[in-house]
Amino acid sequence: MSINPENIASYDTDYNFRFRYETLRSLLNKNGIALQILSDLEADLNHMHHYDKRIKRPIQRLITESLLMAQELNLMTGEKYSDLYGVISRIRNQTDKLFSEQPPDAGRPFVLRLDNQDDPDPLQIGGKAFNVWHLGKHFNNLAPPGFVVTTAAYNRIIEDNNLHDRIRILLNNLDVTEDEAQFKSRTETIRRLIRESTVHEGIEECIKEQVELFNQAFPGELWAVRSSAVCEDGSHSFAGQFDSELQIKHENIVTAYLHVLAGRFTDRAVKYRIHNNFREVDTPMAVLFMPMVDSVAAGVVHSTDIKDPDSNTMVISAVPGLANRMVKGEEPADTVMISKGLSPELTWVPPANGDAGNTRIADYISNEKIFEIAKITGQAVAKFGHELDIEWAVDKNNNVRFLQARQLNIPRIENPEITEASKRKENLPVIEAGITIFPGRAEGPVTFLSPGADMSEVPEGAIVVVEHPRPELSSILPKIAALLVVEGDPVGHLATLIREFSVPCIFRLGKNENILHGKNIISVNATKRTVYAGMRWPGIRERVLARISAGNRHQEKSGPLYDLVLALNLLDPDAASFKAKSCRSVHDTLRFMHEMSVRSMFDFGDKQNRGWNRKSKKLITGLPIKLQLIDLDGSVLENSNNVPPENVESTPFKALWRGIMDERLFWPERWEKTMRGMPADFQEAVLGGNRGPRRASDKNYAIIAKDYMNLNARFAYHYAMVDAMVGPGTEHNYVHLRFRGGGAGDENRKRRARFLEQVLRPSGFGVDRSGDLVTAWFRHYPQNDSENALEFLGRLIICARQLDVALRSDRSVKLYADYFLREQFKRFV
Amino acid sequence: MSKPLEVLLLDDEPIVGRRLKPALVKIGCRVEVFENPREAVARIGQKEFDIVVTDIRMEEMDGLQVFKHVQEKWPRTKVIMITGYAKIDLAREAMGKGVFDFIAKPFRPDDLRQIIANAAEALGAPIDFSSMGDELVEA
Amino acid sequence: MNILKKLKQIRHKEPGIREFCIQTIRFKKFLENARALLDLFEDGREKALGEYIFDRHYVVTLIDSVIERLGMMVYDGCVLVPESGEKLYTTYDTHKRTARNLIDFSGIVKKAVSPGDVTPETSKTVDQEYQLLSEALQWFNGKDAPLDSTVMAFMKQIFLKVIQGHGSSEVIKNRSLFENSCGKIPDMGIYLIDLWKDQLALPEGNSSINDFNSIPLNHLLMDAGGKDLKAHPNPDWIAAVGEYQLSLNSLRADFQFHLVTLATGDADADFIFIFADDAAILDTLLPPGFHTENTGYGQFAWNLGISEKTIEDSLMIIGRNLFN
Repeated sequence: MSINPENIASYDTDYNFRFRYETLRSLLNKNGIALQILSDLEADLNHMHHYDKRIKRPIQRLITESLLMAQELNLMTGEKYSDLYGVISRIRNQTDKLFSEQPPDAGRPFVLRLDNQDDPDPLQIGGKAFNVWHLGKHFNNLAPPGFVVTTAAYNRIIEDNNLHDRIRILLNNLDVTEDEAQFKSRTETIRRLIRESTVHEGIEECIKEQVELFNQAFPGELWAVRSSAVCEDGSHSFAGQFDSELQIKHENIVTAYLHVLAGRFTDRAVKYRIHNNFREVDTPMAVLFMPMVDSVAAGVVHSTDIKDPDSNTMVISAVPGLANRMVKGEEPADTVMISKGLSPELTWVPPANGDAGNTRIADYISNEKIFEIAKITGQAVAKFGHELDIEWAVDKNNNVRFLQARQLNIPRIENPEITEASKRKENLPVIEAGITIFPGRAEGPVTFLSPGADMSEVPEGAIVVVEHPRPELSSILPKIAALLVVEGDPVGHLATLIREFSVPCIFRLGKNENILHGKNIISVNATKRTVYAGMRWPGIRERVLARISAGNRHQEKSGPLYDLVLALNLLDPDAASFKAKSCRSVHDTLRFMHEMSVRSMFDFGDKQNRGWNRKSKKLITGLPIKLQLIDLDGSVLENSNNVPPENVESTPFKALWRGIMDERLFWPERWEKTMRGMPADFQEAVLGGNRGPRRASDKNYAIIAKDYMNLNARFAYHYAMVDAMVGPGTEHNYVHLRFRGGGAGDENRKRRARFLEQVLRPSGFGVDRSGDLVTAWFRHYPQNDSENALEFLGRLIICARQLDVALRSDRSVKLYADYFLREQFKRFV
Repeated sequence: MSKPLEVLLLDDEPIVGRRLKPALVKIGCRVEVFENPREAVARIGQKEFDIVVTDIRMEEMDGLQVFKHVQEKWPRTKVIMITGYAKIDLAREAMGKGVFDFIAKPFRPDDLRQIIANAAEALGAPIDFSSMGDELVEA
Repeated sequence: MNILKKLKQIRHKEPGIREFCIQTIRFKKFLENARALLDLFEDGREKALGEYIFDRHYVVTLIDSVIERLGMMVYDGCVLVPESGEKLYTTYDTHKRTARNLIDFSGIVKKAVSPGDVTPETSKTVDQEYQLLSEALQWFNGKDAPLDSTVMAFMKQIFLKVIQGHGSSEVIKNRSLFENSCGKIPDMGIYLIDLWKDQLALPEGNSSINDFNSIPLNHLLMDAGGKDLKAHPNPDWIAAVGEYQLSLNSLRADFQFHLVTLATGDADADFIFIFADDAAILDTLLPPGFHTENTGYGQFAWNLGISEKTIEDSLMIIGRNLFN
């Protein structure tokens, strides 16, 4: 026989009430702690595998707390949710299974030679080394011989030097930092720690052994030491994000190794990983060691022309000597196009400032060699099964060597609309020059960026003009509308990244860039290589900004632990599928239990008002707010049933009320004006309870005590709950906000939730946002700060309610968040 | 022993001065104690101290402002911050600005003496503990 | 029927075993809260004895922490023994008031207005922070405090109620519950439950220790049960286990015994806790090193902050003594 609260006519003892209230508090308290553990876990899983012992404990603790919460929820609701027990046990058993998995690193070698591998594992040797191996497998003598210091070695070094935790702490919260100086200083600290690390002697011996072997075969060789990260050179190029060390003498090789490892933590590399949502733990680094090729000519070959993939052409860039300065954009190259097919033809591309014509420029490499490179490239494409971006060299013995190979990403080109405007004579472009690196149109304010300038100053959606395509520019790619480069080659690291980030871009603008100096807003058509003054195409700016914000919205991370613990599947509490049995992760169960406990509390409050009114009083106020007070410990100094706020001696309540009553909120008189003409049930909507379709009487109420307040305000199925404990101590003070929904439409509700998040986080709250539910916490602060936080929430709740109509677009979210943070409350009416 | 270390101690809680001063005097420091930040700042205007130990959060003026005064007037002076409840972020931020070190309450006088010793060394006037006597030997 | 009555009753719809497991986990939480309280007392003591410099805020926070933790312990107690709930909360409220009085009225000193009034003259007076801390420590666990007014005394009361409640609980008396739903180690006379197994799945009949991957259980039974290998028709023991935890309870009406242990390798969390209604038994059972507390009802013993190895060794000794 289970208890159905609906049937309870009255409660006979105070203790029963007390126990129920304590149960709710215990449950909400556990929920708050659990959400914090979840958010820490999210950060931890960035650095740890699921079989890492340090993950196990917090997860087991989390699951135990969930089980106890389930017991508490069932106590409150008469065993309505006993299905939860089975769900939670199942999750526990499944996570236990995950934890018993063995880490794969056990027994893995530190060093692998590339020429004697049959089937190397890219997870051990990294993408770059894997591609080099692949080349070596199919083509004799094409790739220089080499060896790899594996990811197992990297992991070992990190562990031996206790770098895991230190790096983790230093990288903590970096994705939200706007402070460029702090970011730089932290990454520099990590690089220094790595450079100063001790290398396990086993690793050092293996390296020296390999170098010795090569020294015997090729005495006096200098080495190239290159990063080969997992995930590198596949669909994510990491192009040049990790530095290479070249011309290394064999006695300096271990130092060079550490320097390359440190390169994993350059500013741009870290930003790249953050932007692409790569977990640190998923991208360990191997390092490829190859003897330096003494080259007479070197460069890059693209197996197809990215600008025009259908043209059946290959593009080769060349420089005399080594290619590394060229790929960094520091040195201009000569470019030649080769048509594919049975009788290939060469066409040398004139340099930016030179004359047109077919004249041959490069005297350090013969046409024959070019054809040879093209031929081998074609064969390599056939073997790899996709287009390739290859770094090549011709050595002193006139042999062609391929040094690196990566997948060539062919961008999907969207056909730009041809508008009438572009045909009119008066709308001539101010610049028509250069080469397309990535097609597309963009509009925005023009920003000139000199080398060494602070890149955090670049505004979002700007069109940036630079002299050279330096790799550091990669860090601004996610947020700009387009990029114009005065000098640069279409190959090279930055160009690769520009394509990855799909940023419309023109290189080789030449002297023309002077024209832009007087302009404010410009429009760029990177496909046609034209630049116009002013705004040109309606709708393009919005599309650009949408692309930028879409790119910055992180995709969900995944993995077995994410699915079992962090993922939130239960999004809509109004859906029929919102049941205990539908919970698949711990996060689901927390969400479910929280929602059900709140609902149960509403039911309980209703019963209070109906059956037993001894402790429930009505708050008297001039504002259109209906609030019932349930007094736990005599904090209401009033014997009558109607209480003015001044007579409520509850510290948290008083603070919240100060926020609600803030004069700058301006709304009482405005309220009347706007309310005339509004339907009656809408008027009730703001903190007034609502005669919604399903609930008989929705009243708002607050349970109060001297140091405690639990306020629930709602309309229809949407609510705000403020749960706070504020006293003279600090350890236990907390202010929790749970805000869900409000307003018509899914999108609106989500925008409101994002607004809240953008306002709460910078104000010191921890925030968890799942769909349209926002949970925020402000814990362990002294009384003053906690009271200020409550006042803040008071103002926030009022303003958030008034946002129903205003949040029409995604941009308005940031706009209103700024208004609120700057206390421009008038904007909210 | 060389010239005694001149220390200014500032905290609006009397317990700090009461318990720290004797401990610092024992290692040969000359200590002036203040509970009022304005008075302390006025004194700093008159005299150069080797070390200033100040609470980070006081009602009238916060430790960072005191630090700024010291830094402007006597850049050589080492400033040490006392923090109350784990306001570690604030303290780290302060260190980024040039504060020498910080110590969080609750702490033992010995813990601070160690930091003072470090500061003295950084000033080029290391304190010689060995001549201090048994009080300094840790129990 | 209200919540309380529901709590007191055994629900026949849901498996009692699940109830038993959850209450076992709840009891472990109860012990954790108790431990946290002891740590808080110790922290305060350390600060007082070590001549630390601290502010009033530290002491107020300590007092608040104690009240919060105590509240959590009381809540757990109410879930474990609903019939004692009302009394427990009444006493708890008294302690809340004591704490409040301490904070509001002790050691409040108006700041000296006259400048320069900070000479060590005042070192003769006790610092108000120390005054407050000393009063708080008295309230926590003072030897000279009036009987039963300390937090520690209250903790003991709660423990007693919980243990007594457990002894008289219907679950324990209703052995058929275990007979039909648990695994068994027949030669040791122990019913076995996996704490986290989905209890609605049907049991597998006779099991052996190897079916349960529980490190503490393995250590407990390592040296145990040498000679007598006859199957016990009515097992006297119920052991609820997890990978690192064990909760062992006696099912005999005339002998109440509980052992709870967690051995994960984290000394801050690990512990062994034992209760026996006959103090004499514990004297023969326990290896040295345990704290003990005698009450009229029986004896408590515990060991905290110890290594995994110590726990495992202790379990072996206890198991050897208990099952032979």
